[in-house]
Amino acid sequence: MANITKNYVVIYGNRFHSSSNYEMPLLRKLGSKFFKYIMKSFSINISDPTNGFVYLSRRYIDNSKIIGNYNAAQQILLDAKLRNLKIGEVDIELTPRGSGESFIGIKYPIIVISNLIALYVYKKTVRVLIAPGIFSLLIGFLLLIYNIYLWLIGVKTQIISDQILILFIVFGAQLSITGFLIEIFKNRSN
Amino acid sequence: MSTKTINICVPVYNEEENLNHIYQDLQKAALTLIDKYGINLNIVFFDDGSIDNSRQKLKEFKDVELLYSNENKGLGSAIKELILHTKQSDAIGMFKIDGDGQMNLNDLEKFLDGEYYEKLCCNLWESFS
Repeated sequence: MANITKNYVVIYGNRFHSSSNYEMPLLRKLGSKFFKYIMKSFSINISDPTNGFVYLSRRYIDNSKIIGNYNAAQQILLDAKLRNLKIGEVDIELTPRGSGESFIGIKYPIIVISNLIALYVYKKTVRVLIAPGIFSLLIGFLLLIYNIYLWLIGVKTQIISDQILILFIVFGAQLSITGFLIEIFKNRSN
Repeated sequence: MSTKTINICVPVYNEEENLNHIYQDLQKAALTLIDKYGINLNIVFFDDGSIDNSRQKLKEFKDVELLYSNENKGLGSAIKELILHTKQSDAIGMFKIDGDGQMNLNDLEKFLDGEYYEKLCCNLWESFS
């Protein structure tokens, strides 16, 4: 029986192997290298993150999350990594395009990186939004208590005269509320 | 040996010139996979609002599932639709290939033979050093 039921949940084809005969255009090769390092910043070590020959097992499919409509190759990898799913690679061969043209253009990296960040924030709401938000609120409230103390002993004439205090409270509240709203949305969509 | 189904999903946008060749390769691959691995390869095309004759061509193909969007929403949208379609089926998973005919479908066997590997690591600093 096929080994495809092994515990590899997502498997990507790799065009960049020593025995490959395919000559990729330089700009696309550089783009692929660039995304290789972008994926490494998310601790994903993959040779060819822009490749379109992919296997996705049901374990991935059942809870997949892709943001936006532009492309999904890198988001699939990030989604799998954030779910601790095993990612494999297999060496593949490519032939030059017969006709037609690729949709990849100058806006590709901008949209893909934005979508990766959005997916990371969506998946790690507590770490990225709620925890820093609450931390910021906490600092804001500590500053508020200090300001009240200064007002009580007569050092200050107004309770809230510190703009930093307002900044911490507003910033913290915005982050936390956004985070909680995303969490509510996630729970509802599940 | 019980037969398991894997969807092979092909998002397509204005690829009428490449479709015949892809379809023939897919049919050959489907025969190989059922003979050699007992895996039923279910071919699914998604036409993402093509403005050429891709849709008409796809309708002529036998033994394929055809999904489509009337407007071009983007590759990501097509992949989401194909994932959703596989989720609602009894397939154990899905292959996704490009609709430009560049992929060599003999490579499907490498996936099935377990010729894959995992690169462990890593932090960004290690990758540059």
